[in-house]
Amino acid sequence: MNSDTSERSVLANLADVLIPAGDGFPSASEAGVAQDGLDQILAVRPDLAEGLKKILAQAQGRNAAEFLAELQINDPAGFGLLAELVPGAYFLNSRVRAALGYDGQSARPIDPRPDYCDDGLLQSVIDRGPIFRPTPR
Amino acid sequence: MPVHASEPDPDVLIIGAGPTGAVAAKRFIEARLRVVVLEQGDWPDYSKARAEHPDFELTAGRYWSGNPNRRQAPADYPIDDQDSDISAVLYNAVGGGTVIYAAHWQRNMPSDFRVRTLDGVADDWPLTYEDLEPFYERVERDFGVSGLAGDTAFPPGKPLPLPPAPLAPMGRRVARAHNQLGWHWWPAPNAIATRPYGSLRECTQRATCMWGCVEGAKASVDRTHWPQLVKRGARLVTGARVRRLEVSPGGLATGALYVDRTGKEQFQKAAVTVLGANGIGTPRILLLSATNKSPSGLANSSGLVGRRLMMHPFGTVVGLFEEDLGSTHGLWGQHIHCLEFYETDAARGFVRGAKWGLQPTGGPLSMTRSYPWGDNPIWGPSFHQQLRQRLGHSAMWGIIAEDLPEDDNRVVLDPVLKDADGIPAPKLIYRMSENSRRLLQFHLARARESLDAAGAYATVIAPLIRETGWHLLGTARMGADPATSVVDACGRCHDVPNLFILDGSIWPTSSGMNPTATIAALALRCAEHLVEERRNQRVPL
Repeated sequence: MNSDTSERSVLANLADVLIPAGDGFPSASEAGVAQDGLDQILAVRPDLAEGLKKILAQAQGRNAAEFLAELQINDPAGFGLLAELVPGAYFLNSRVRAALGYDGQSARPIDPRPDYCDDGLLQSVIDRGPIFRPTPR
Repeated sequence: MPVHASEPDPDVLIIGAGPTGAVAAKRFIEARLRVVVLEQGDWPDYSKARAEHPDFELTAGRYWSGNPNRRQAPADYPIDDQDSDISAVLYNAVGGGTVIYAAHWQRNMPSDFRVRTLDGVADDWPLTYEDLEPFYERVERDFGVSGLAGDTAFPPGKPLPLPPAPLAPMGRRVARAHNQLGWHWWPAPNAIATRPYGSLRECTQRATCMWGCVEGAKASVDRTHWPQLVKRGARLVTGARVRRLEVSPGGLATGALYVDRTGKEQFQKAAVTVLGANGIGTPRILLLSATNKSPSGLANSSGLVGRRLMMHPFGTVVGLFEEDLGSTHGLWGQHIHCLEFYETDAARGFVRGAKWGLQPTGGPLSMTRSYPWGDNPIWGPSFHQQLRQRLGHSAMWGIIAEDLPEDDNRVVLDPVLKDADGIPAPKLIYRMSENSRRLLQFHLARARESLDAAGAYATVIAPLIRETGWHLLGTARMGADPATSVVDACGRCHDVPNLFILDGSIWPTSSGMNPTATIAALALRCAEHLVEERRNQRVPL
């Protein structure tokens, strides 16, 4: 999808309703959701392009908050597309990820220490005894 | 590998390269039988597993989606699920459902095999827990299962091959709470390697197990079984979609007619045919194989092929905690399980029970979705606050509810819908029973109490969603009486003595457990019997 300036502007307005600035985080548009973020998303999820283009055409010239409220009721699938694409692009932003302290689904090796032994945790279960019904004889 | 005309006919033809086919093929190869396997999919493409990429959460649902109607890969067949409360989740590839399963490795309990005797409903299995136990032990070694012996919810048994995953902060919190409540919990068994084991590497807790395990730590049979089996002589034919089974005038299966990758029809002969195509694929093939002598489908004199479909209604409860639980990561997978309410208590207003598994909740995009967060809107001015409350601070009970068999819940051939090769697609007709609804409501309420007791300041019961039909069971049940069952206790079709069904189709009842452990153990038991009795096996001339 080759998004033109107008489409990106509409997307930015919609995205900022979903994710405004606050709590030290940028808004969606400030995080580039309608710019680099959109390009990155559509590079890996080209299947979203057609539906997005349709929604942006419908939203053109409309109040963003009102449009989204109507979309959520009248076109849940369309709203769902935006609800996937906008935060998906937002969380690609390195500033956002740093503010969240989120480094992706990174590798975290397993601690071999058996933490189930802590504080006699497991012994309590054992002391309560079996809870299954045996095979009837 | 293509099947060449010059190659000798196999002793055994296996249809489906999922866990059933893999476990059976291993035993047959060990017994020096010639094995051909037809698999409609290809090998999983792990280059499409993007756990190491920032876009993981956005892209995981495409290639690794469990719903074939959504995934629409070339190997997939469509499933008409308009008349079903639950959509089927499966994976058509070498490895089958294990490619996308969460690897919760749950044995059934002894009572699961004696449902009629103990609870007066449904049917007993024609075997007991004790009959299956040695086969559980063998497949647990083959799958590199991690966990801890001594679980008070099961009869005493041997140690598992690998130590359990850590409880993690979420598990420790809930474990302490359950000890205060006097409720069961135990370090959960998973078919996920916590140490290097055979072909498996050590898990790195990315919580991406269901969307392409990049580490190669999850025991999917495309990693644990098939590479070695192919080296040892199994002929695995990918891109081979079975159109029908053929039968001799004497009523014996002669092999399978299939469509190859180029769209050409091929016929694969075999002395014995084994179906391991899951609870939808297997009845579909049997129904497609109707003949003049068997107009309602092959091996279907009982009329039960396709009937008694069970899919395990699934519920989820999430707890929000002040403490940072690190729950973006972990095993997905489960850290602890709870079987406190598994056994029947008639005073609850329903029979049977459910298993709970405690798991992480994932990365930030997962915090914004309607599942499992329901109608708790995150959008707008409170977005950042709610995101911080959820991300890393939430833990989730996943609840597997036992589904009792009902004849009207079934798989049939769709009169209109066809797959890419023009073969009629399956249609699901399934309604969740009143017993299942009550059971799930009870368990959701108890799971909420569990998380409350663990210190959650808020809990969310997720909306029931359709795409949770991972467990496809019961559509060709086993039993002693040919009038009321499709196969015997060894998986042999009553009507066709050289046709075996070894997958979850043959379960008389569904238990409330994730089924792969029992599917694998039962497949091994049946395969062992077939090997032992091979000299007495009737085969077509």
